[in-house]
Amino acid sequence: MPDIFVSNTEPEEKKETPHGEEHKVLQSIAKTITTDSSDNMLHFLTSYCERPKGVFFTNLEEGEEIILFLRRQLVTNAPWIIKALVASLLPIFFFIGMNLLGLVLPLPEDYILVFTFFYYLVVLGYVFLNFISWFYNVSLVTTARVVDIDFSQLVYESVAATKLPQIEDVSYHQVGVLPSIFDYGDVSVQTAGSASNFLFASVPHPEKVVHIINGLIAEKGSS
Amino acid sequence: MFELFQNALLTLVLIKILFLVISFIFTIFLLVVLKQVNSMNRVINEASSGLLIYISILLILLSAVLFLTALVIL
Repeated sequence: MPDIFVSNTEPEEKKETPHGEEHKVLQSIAKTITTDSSDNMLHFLTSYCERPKGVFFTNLEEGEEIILFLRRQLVTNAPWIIKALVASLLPIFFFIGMNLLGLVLPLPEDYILVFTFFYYLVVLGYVFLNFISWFYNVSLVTTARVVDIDFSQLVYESVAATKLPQIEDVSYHQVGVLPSIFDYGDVSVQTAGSASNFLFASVPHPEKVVHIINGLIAEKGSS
Repeated sequence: MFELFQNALLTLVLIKILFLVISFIFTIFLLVVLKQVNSMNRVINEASSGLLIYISILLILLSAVLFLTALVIL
């Protein structure tokens, strides 16, 4: 007797929604980051590092791991480096000009020597101050949160952090010729509620940073 | 002539005092920088952070040497 109705016993293929696919992609990105261990040694001038080794920050919780270490792109230091170079060349041109014009400073030689030494010390101080302002402006993405450490011109120091589930939106802006050439831009992290928003200014590979943070959020959401 | 010489000498002494005050303030400023570097190293610490402490100590030493040199030879 022929069957009137035969139930379909073959398992139906799971149709994934576009959102689910994106979720999987983001999770795979996060996994790639968390398993890749190459090139993660921090150097003195590092501005982008995935899973950095030997970095500790205040309030680092047990089991929490740093996934991304970010600083402003090195090229953004160019203005003060150029200023320092010009300032360090200025006395040389000044003395050459004085010699060419046949002018003599109305000061004893030891005064001129000490003043020149002091001038270069001030230039060195300027360079050092700008360098530490860059060096200690660090943004971190860990397995649990996003941390923004700001330090500016000795007088401003702030540490802000937000947990990954509290992040609502992550976006980046890359505007200008230099950011396009050197691949850097601003990454803004918007948080829920009254928590303050974060801005990682001029960080390298902003697109990658956004993907990684989104991946971590997705991973955190699924677990 | 003597008055002119006296005025020049007075100017040099004033310059010396001014320079000593400025270099002293600069040394104090560098001490503040060292304190801040030390404080930031506690907030975020990485392998190369220690080098910055050495550099700031070196700058303070240079500034102190300059202050003493100015005090002695000017």
